[in-house]
Amino acid sequence: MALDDLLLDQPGWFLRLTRWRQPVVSLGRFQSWPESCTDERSAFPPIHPAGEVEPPPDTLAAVRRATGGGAILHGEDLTLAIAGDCPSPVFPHRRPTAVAHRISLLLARLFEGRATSRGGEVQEASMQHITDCFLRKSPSDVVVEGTEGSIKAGGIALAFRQGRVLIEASLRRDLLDAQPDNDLQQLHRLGLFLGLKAGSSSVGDLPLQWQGPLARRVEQRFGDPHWNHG
Amino acid sequence: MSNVPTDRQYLSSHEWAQQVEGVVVVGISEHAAEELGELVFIELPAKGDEVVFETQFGEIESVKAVSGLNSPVTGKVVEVNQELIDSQAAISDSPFEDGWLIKVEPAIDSGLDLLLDHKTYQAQLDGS
Repeated sequence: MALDDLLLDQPGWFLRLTRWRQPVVSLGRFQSWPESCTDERSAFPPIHPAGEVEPPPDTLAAVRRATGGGAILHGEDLTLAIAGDCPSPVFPHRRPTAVAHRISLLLARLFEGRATSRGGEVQEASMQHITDCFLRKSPSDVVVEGTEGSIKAGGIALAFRQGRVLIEASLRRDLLDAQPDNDLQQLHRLGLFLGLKAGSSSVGDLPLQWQGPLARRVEQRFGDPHWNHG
Repeated sequence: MSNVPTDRQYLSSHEWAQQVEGVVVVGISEHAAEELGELVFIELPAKGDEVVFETQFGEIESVKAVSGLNSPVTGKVVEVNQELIDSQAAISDSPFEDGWLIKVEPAIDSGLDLLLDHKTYQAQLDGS
């Protein structure tokens, strides 16, 4: 996810799909590490920084996001990132609620007939003390209807830097029937919904030329070259 | 409509600068504070750090969104509003007074002459 941080500084539009080799927890930019490790409200097992040479047993690897919000358990989810200009024709207003509202509608549209946006361009309530993003309701949630009301099926988090915005989204495959085989097609559809022209695409591990800049960025931002390498 | 004091200058990214007895006080505008909503965390430079005109000097998190803070001046940080580390309420409640972020000793080439005056900044807000 450190790549998402780098993409905030690159010109142009990027849509990125992350696949996970193992379950990983991503923490919000300023989310407390000790709290995430030890808070009894945490839905996760203890975590350790991704990239540690000898991770403790029975722990989950964790990475740090550039975006805000709470922790998300990845692995079985569809993890997406969008980076581009803001304000721009795609996101005319730099207001977090406006960007969140628009992207929530578009993500729900990817699963039309199954999901909707919880809706409303209103201020989010504080989640400073809630560890797990999926334990709280937010107007920008992607939701599906269950027997006892709406169930959160997707959450988003944002980062703004200079004239750019980064949106990171986690969508629950089980609730949205999001099959991995359809991921690239869905990414293409999302680009169309955003009004982006078709561009180049690449699939696979990160090219080697990105590794050096990524390591430097992670060390600069998080103080540890291993941290955030999910 | 957001308040835009006439006694300071602005960046288009909504930070303000006010020169007071040789020091430049820096904050974010009322418009920016309103747009961000409830704030939950702020990261500011330390006293003695250098800040550069139109370059990010800190970050602020409103719920779910992390936003960069750009410096309206080049110079050395001489004071940081430490009260904001525990609570960012002053930024929302009093962005032009108690919610100031840092104070900067400006460099010779500080960039202050490139800032927007209040009329131009107000026009930017009216047009957005």
